[in-house]
Amino acid sequence: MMFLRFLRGEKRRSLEIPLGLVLTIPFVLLTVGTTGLVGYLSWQNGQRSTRDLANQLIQQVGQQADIHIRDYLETAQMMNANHANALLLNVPNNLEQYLCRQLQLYPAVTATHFSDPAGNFIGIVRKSKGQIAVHERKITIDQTVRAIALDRNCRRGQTLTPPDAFDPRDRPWYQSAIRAKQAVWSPIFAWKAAPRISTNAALPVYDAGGGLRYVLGTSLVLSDISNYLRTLKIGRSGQVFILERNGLFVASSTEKEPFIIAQNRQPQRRSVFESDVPLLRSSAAYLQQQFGRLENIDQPQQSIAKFGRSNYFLQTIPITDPRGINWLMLVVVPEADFVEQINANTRTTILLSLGALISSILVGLWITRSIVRSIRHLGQVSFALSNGEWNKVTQLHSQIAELQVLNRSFQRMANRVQQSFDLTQARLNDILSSTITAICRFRVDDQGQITYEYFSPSNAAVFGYTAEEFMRDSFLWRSRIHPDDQANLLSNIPPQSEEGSFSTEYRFYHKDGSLRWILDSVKFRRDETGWILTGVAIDNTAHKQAEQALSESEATKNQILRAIPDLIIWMNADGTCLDLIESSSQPTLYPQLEAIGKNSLQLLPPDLAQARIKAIEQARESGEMIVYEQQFPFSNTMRYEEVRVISVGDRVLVMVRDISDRHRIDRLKNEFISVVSHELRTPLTAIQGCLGLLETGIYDQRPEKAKRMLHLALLNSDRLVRLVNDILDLERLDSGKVELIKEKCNAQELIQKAVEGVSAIADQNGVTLSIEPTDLQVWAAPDPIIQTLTNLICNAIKFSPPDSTVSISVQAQPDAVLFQIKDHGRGIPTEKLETVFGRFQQVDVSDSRQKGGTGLGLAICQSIVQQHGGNIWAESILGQGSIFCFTLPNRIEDTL
Amino acid sequence: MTKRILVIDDEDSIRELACACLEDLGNWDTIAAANGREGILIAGTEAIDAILLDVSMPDMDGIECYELLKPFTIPIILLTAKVLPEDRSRFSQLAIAGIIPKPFNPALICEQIADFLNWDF
Repeated sequence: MMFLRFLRGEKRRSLEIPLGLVLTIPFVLLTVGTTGLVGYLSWQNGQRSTRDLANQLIQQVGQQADIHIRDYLETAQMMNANHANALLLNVPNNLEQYLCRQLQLYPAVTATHFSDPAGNFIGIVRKSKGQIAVHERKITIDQTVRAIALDRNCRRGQTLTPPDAFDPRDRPWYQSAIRAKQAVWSPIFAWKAAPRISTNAALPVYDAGGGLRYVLGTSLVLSDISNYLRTLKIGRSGQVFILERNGLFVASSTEKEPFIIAQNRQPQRRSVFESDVPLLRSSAAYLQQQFGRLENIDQPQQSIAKFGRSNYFLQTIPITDPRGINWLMLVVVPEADFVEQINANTRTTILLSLGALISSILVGLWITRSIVRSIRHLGQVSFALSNGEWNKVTQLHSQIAELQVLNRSFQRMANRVQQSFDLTQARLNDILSSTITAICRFRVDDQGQITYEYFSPSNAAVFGYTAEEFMRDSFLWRSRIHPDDQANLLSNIPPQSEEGSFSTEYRFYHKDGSLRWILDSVKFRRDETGWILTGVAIDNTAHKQAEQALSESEATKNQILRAIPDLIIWMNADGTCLDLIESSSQPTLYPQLEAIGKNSLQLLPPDLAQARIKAIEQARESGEMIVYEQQFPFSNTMRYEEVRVISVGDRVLVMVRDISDRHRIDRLKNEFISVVSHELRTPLTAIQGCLGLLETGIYDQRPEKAKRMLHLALLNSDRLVRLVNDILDLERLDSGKVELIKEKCNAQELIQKAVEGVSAIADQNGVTLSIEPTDLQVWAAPDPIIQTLTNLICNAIKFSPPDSTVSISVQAQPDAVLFQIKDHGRGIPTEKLETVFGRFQQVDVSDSRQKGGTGLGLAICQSIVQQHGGNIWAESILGQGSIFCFTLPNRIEDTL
Repeated sequence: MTKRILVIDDEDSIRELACACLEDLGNWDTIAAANGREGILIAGTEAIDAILLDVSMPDMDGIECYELLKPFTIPIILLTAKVLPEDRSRFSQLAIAGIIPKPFNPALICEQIADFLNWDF
């Protein structure tokens, strides 16, 4: 049962019935059913046949009794007839002798007597103990009745105590006989001579004249009938009763006399309805109830009556004869008498059935027990097997061959498994001790309490601590974890779910003191008391270091790649973007997350995508780097890109460089060359043309014309020189070939020198120069600054209307000196305020021709100011004039 | 009847030189214009047989000017310092009589013009 309960385990299972009950209950039910049914059928059959038998028996007894009683009655009448015949032939001289001899012949007769009308009486009576006596009344002597004993030879003996005196003529038999005048039965009466009741057969004998000669009588003592009835064996306790139709008791097979002795010592008859025999009383009552009156019963009747709790067989036989007997004989037998045997049989059957039942249950239990014990044993064995307790597979002492075989199989299996387990264990131990993987198994209860179950030997290699050390100190492992990693690691313990796994990485202080990276994979599952966790740990330090190194290297590589001003794309062969590294110096064109996984057609306009795909194909086929350029509109300008495609393994490296700046510079350069070419060609054309025309000699005769041509040539030659000078100046300034030797200068002096150079032009244009006096010092290279001022003042003059003023002023700023040249000319459109400082970027090209400029003046000014670390700019209100400003920063030591 | 040629050039020296060449060597009449607008105005009002047109001019350059002069169906010869290959290819698209690069040879210019225009010289 313990085993069953154990098997039942925690969870509720479906109804479990012990094998013993399963085997025993049907067995018991079957046995009970069978014996019950058989018993019931046999009982019922017995009952039926018993009743039949009982009826037969009673009938037989009744008939036998009937015959016997009729015979008895017949005998009495016969005896009277014999007496009459004998007396008729020859009245014996010794009547006493004759009657005595007759009585001795008929032992069933109690008494026989002779009486005459005179009142003489001789009666021979059979007394108790078989003694015969004579009762004699002789009128001739006296009125009394004498009693004298008779011996065997009917000779008179001693005188006995005389009975009460009586007159025979008063007796019922005498009365009945003379009344009937023929053979008749007297009514039942009590004797005078003894306490007996009897019915007497009486026969009156008449002479020829019809006179009564004498009355003969033979007594039938009712107790004799009773004595006979007692000899009948009717069942065990069956009784026979004889009664008169008026209900008075005649005889019975019971010990009771059918009369009681009254106080006058005379027997008194009783009615059966008042009998103290309950059975008789009940039977009479039953018959009266059934037939109304007892007189109504004229045929033999058979019935079964229930008195109290018992059934009785009841046989009623009418006994009648023509001489006045009209009796009823009742045979009453308790059904129990017959059924008793059956009941006894039934009891025996029940006992036997019970015995069979008990023995079958016992046998069933024994068999069940032996089977269950064997099966339980096998169950324990298999349970032990499942728990890995191989050595618990023991010998089974069972007589059941199959179970023996099964158990032997279990034993063999256990042995095999044990061997295999030992082998595996040995191998596992070898593996575990040679592996670099540390294995640990431990339990965690709901409170987070850790109980270690197993540490593999390899723990020593990983953690430095042996399995024994870990087992000895349950806090060792936890205490050696790097403090920063403890919270994260222990957050997994206890686990959050029933079953699962997690992987964690933490730093651990090795026994040698070094900090190791541990990679721990933990599997867990829950049982009744908590979780079982199995951790597999490896020393991941080398890997971690390599990873860090790799990560650093990767980061460095990425930094380098980012520093490259190219967009770098890794693509696979079909042009799908795998990774994308954008230069930190470039605007983001392709957001990385959007680009990865997309192909060229999705990322680029169709024509560029086609070019890209073609380049990738070429690069993969040739194995060489393919370089091409592409251009597309991008935020209002054209963006130019140089694309290099290199096949690397099965991938393609695409590097895209923004060359828009280079393109712009190229364009600018081309434009500049174009402009310069034009600017140089124009004066050259004029010079060459003038000289060529003169050479033709066409003007030999026209000196004014020739002179004009020479003038034009000279003019353009000047312009050419200026242009070349300006270009050279600018080139030298821009390339840094001119080293500005700065010194402390007086701003006023610088302005004065510039103004001196241009005063002629100012006069020529009718422009007044207004100079605000100043004593500010500047840190500058004097000649370039004078050139700058000259250029700016010259420009101002050129664009000033006549009679206007050009103002030159100097202001001190916190860390610089500001120069301003203000005119009242037509002004500069806002969009050109910056471009005027470009090369050949005059507001109006025609101006330069008219004003004699080269288009490089402001560019030179800008270059000079920038070389000084200052700024130059223009402010203007269209139509009102312009202000050109530049600053020269103070020398650092001056500011300090 | 003397041919009349309109010279459009923003450079005073060049304009004067060109006119001198055409008049004194080619014996043609010339009308000078200092910019495109002025040239178009003259072309629309005067009887002109040919136009000598500079390309690099402020405001309205020679090409723009050419487009506006086209309706007058006057032969146009470009006189230009733009002699780079891309310039030439650009000019080849135009329905012009010819191109004379700067600097030009004054002794030959009239002959070149007459060639372009199938004039007797």
